[in-house]
Amino acid sequence: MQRFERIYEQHREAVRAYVRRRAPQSWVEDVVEDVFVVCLRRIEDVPREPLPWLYAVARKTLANERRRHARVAPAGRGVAYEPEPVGDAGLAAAFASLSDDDREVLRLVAWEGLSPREAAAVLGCSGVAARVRYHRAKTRLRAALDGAASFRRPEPKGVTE
Amino acid sequence: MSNHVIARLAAANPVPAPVRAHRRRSRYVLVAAATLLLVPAAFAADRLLGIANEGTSVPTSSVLPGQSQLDEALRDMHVGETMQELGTVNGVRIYAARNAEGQICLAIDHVAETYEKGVLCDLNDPGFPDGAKVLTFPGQLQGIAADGVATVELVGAQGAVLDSTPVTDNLFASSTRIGMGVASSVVALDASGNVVATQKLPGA
Repeated sequence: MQRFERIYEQHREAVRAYVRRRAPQSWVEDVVEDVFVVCLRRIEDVPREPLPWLYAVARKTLANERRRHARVAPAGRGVAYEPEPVGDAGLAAAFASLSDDDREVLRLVAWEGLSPREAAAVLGCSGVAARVRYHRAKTRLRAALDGAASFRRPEPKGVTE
Repeated sequence: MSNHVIARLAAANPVPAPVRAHRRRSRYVLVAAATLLLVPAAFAADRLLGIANEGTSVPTSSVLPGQSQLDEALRDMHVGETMQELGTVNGVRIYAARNAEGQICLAIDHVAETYEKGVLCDLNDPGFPDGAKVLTFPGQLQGIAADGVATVELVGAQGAVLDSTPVTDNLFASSTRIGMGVASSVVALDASGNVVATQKLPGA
């Protein structure tokens, strides 16, 4: 129980932010609660570095939530809302043009601050596969940005990985 | 090159990360006409300060004359009899020393003014320069940077760059006062514009 409390205290805000980046605000508290219910039930399975594991649970919980909403939503009404990059119209357009898989691996690295190896634990793939997916997604985003010439602006600063 | 894309995407994060970024341990004490800031440090025992600019040794008593509260703060933080005068940049004279615990402490003096003096100690472990790459006052970019850092930036919670200033001989001092609690992190960049470190500011 102590371990669960520690995990909850240390990571609930990160999990909440993860969910908020992918879902409407109205879903957030329910999804976060579900994630930590799973965490409590499966505390023996939670690895030493719990955050990628918690993100993986949140990812599955969100997928279930989207399916549930898709079933109850009236035909023609969009339910796949997700927050987009803010303050950068060119980037938002390019990002939206990517596949779900590409967007997710890029979010995990750029927004959650995970390494590709950590992202692998969330995506349920090997570290090598995650790295390949990440680099391909990055290349595709770059290409999409280059295609949106009207939105080009001076190059931002880079990051080291 | 495509890392620029990730930096751009990170800057457009609709919900900036609350916990992944390393939060610097800190403590502030405000005193009349001066700021006392205790910020979290690591330390290389084989080097005086761990940066290329080691400065010249001066008596600690001469660093902030007449600032009894800051003198007392330096004593409280176990700064010894001498500090290293590292130089003056943009009207701000900067001193540094390792205290009895091996933590780096800074003192700044706006040489043309009778206010805006302050001291700071890095309490992190590891801290500057092995952990933190920048030691700065959070409301204004004034302090020291590790070797290889060419520019430091104050960044807001939404990722906007609030201020940016170059680093010369490990020193930087911007004249722009952002204010306490406005910026959420400080970013260190190398000469190519690559981010080498992002540090959460106390209270962010």
